[in-house]
Amino acid sequence: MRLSVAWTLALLALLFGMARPAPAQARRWERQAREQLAHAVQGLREKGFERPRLTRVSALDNEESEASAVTLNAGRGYAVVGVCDADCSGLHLVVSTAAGSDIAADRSGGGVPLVRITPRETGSYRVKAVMAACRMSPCWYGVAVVEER
Amino acid sequence: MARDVRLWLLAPLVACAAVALAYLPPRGVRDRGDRGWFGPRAPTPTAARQRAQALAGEWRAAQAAVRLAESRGRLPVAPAEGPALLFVGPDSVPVAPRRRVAAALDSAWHQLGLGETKISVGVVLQFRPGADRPGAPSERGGGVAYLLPDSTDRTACVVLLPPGLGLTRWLLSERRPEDRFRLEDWLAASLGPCAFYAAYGAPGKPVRRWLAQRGFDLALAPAWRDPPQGSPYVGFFVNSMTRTWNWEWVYHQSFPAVACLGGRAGGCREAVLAGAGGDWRDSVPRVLVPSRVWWRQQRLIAGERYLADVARAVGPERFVRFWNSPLPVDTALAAALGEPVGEWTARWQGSLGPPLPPLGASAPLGSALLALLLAAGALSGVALSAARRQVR
Repeated sequence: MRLSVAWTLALLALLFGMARPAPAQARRWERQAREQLAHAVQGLREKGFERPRLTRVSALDNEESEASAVTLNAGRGYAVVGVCDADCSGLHLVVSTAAGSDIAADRSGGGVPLVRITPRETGSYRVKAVMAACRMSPCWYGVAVVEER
Repeated sequence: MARDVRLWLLAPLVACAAVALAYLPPRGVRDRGDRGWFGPRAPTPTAARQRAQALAGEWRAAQAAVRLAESRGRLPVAPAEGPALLFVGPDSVPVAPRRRVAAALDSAWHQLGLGETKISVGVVLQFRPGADRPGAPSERGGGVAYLLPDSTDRTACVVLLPPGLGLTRWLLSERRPEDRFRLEDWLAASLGPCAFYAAYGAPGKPVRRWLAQRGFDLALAPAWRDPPQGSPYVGFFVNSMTRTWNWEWVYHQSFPAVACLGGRAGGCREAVLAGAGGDWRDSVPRVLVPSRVWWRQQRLIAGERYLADVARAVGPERFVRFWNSPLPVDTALAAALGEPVGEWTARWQGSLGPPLPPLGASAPLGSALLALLLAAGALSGVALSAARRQVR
């Protein structure tokens, strides 16, 4: 019971984070990333995915990367989706274990990378976003990790 | 003494007098009575005084870094299309000057062609740095300082502007602005590298390392909207009557800078690309405190507006490609310019002012003529003497 309450609270927190509108002072490029991420997550939900386990919106200079930690459950399917602003033409996503071993990646070079994984072990994983092609730095990007129903 | 001997003694003396008349005083040497206006008028400081001045400079730079860090958190949220403005100083700054400065800053922003930018700019106008600590150098001698974006905050650039005493009095007064001084121009020029960040985003790693190595000396003046008439301060070092450079000032510049001013493409390339290779540190200093007398000695004459002139010449699209390029600086810059860096820069430098006399070991025309005249005289004398001395 205690676990389910905590889980519900966590989901509500994630939901709040996702549904929160861009801050009033957010500039055009940040708004683009937030809107695109919401759109991508909505698209995944229509394909049978739940609410996101992780969402992150931030800015990166060209050729820079940033990693976020997320806990994933063994045997469950996940989709990791990334988006970026209008100046960005290449965002890479790499999912790795906490020890640093890459388990899945999308380096196809598009602006909307998508990675699908089914972890064998429950534990902490790292989702790394790499800004591969940004015309004018910094470029805003967003990443969401969504669990299959 | 025989007449011939007197002649032989007199002829060299006349030749020496001619040479002395032509070459004394030597060219490029200041008169003794003239202390010059470019160099410091005070006597040359002792080694101890120079050390104390250097320490005071470092102190002011550190203080500027502290002020920037303190002010960063107090800056109001920047409007969508303009910089944020913060006044630091007496609480009694009247409303009218505040409004006047805010309006001028807004005009300066649009004067630079900036609108909504990825990197926001905050301007801290520090009217009075506060009471000096006993024994510590005065902060009043400090100049503008910049807090550049980095990985801890990629989207904000802060300018610390300490107006001098006269400007402070004028800004805080209710008087109408004087015609000679345009507050907008001063504010636009003071945005410096932050204006480049706002206009073209954060530079790629090679350009960032290159500029950091040389203190952003090529990106201090965001003059890409100014007419291409050269640097305003360079005019101070050209004699308007004779159209010649002030030699004392020229002698203070670096060898590549003078070579470039003399039209040598190799010197221009060296002057521009200094610092472009060798140092591969990933992080660069975030706080930038340019020297207040940067114009005294430059790596490239009028270099403070070099990248602004490049941006105007090649257009914003090509400039952004260079600015953000992962390629080495010389490759990226040559690609943007469409020709080798040295050639373009030599032409650009040539447009700034009158050409220098030819550099290197070349005799001036007057000297060559005098030498020929003296040689002809000596030969004639010898020939005449030889013709008279006939063996009977």
